[in-house]
Amino acid sequence: MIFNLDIDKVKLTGKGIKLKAGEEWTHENMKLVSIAAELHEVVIENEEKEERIGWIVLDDLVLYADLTVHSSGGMLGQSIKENIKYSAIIDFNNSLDEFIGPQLKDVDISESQKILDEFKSRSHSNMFRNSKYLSDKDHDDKILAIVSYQSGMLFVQTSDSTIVLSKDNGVLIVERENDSLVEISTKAGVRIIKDGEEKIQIGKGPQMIINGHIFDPSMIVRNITKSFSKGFAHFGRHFGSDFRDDFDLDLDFDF
Amino acid sequence: MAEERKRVEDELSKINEEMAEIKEMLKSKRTESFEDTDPDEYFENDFDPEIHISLDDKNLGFDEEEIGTTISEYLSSVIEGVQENLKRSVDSMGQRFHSMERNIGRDFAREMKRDPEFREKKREVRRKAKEIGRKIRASQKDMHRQFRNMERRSRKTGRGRQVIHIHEFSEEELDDFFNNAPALMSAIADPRRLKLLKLLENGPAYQGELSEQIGVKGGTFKHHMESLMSSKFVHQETTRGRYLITQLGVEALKLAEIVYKRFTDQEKEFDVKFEDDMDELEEEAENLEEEEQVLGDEAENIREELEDLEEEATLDEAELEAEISDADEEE
Repeated sequence: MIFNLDIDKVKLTGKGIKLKAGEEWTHENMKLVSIAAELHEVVIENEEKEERIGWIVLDDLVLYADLTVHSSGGMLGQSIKENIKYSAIIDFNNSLDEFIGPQLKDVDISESQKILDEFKSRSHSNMFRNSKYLSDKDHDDKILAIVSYQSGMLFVQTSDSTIVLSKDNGVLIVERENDSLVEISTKAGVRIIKDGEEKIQIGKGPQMIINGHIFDPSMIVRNITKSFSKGFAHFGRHFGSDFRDDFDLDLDFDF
Repeated sequence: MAEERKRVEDELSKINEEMAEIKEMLKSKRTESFEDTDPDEYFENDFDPEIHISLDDKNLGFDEEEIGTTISEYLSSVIEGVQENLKRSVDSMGQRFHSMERNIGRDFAREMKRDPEFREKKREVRRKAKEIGRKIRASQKDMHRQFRNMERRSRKTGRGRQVIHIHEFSEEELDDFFNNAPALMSAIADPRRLKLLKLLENGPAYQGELSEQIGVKGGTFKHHMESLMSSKFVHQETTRGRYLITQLGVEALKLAEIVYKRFTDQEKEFDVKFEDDMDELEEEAENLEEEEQVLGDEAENIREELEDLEEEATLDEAELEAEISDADEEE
């Protein structure tokens, strides 16, 4: 079944659960740990039926995720730890059922309604707008997404990859099976690892790696200017000028 | 007879003079080729491949060295190839000259038998041929000596050695370094921890696999792993619990490997020095052998000349006796 995510049809049921401190749920390379979290059920009206599509998190839940890969030069990427208080968890395939359990109780939704309303209002300008497809219940590919406006983070977990967009960590995409990593951040620059090998790396130091080869832009420019210098020197000699052999164009490039 | 003896004595003194000349010539040749020329200086002056390309950028220090090392390694391999070819060429050239020397000797001997006029030139020709042979052998030895020096130089300089450039510490940094570096170093100062890093270099692993491989379990394993993790040489996944070697961990492992490699290379340098001494002794022995051979050749020359002279004297005596008997008969 393919969901048509019409954000206006998303609502709270007034049911929820209070998780005890220290409860844990591990899935692939992510882990959710409860400090003392209250989760409120979110459903979507689908052909006159209500399908649970996620939760609103009121109190503290901690998300741990390993966005790391092994490479020949050592581990790349990072393990992240995010507090996901006042956030929305989108869980189409009900992956979290084993963690949350079926014993839902009536809860006060006044606070969680505010969060859902904010989510709805912001969804008009984010990736979930007019989303036709997010998950197929008949397919095994489970998707779990966590949106935290408070900490400015979007976390998406599928069966083979993990995506994190956050203010602190930039963009991190990990494909676990292939030892592949895409990292775009102010700290690491742009880095692409495939099969544990650094294919592209731009932004750290004066060099860049493209397709596994090291390039040094200042060196490239120097070679070009040297060629020009030689050309000018040859031209000068040819016409009897006083150009020196190593006539320098004196071009200074800073990288 | 007295006149004949005087002639023989004159001849012998001439031979002695010639021998002295040859000795002097050999001595000067040996001095010229073996002692005056410093092979290191010779090669330094004549061969400068300019491998240290100046990139004129402090930030690129490490890579400049790396490029230099790569070029150096490549050139060294080329030089080694050329050197081997030259060695072979010199050897075959030497062999050809030896056979040529022998052929000349044989041809002259044959000619001498045919024509008695050659007999007078016999000594001179033999001396010339031997002199050529000696010169060739000396040049051959000289070339081999140069090659050996080249080899020794490359062993001593330890080509392929990389230098890691580290900027100078400020006083504050130096204090931090003294305070914190020992803890970092102690994290790799254990065979089991080094083994753990080496195992993790191949890829992430769970505790069970690592524990089995290094033969350490439970608390001891945890102690070693905590030491590596507190130094940030190893990272443990928060979800699956696998251990991964970090970039710093790879560097720490490489550091230990480099230090060990250089230490053992230094040990080898002592061996090289010993080998050098052995080489020099062998060379000395070769020189002595050469001199012995030269003296032996000269002694043989003298013996042969004496035999010739005695033969001539006998012939002259026989002729004289024949003349005397003819005269008697006439009387």
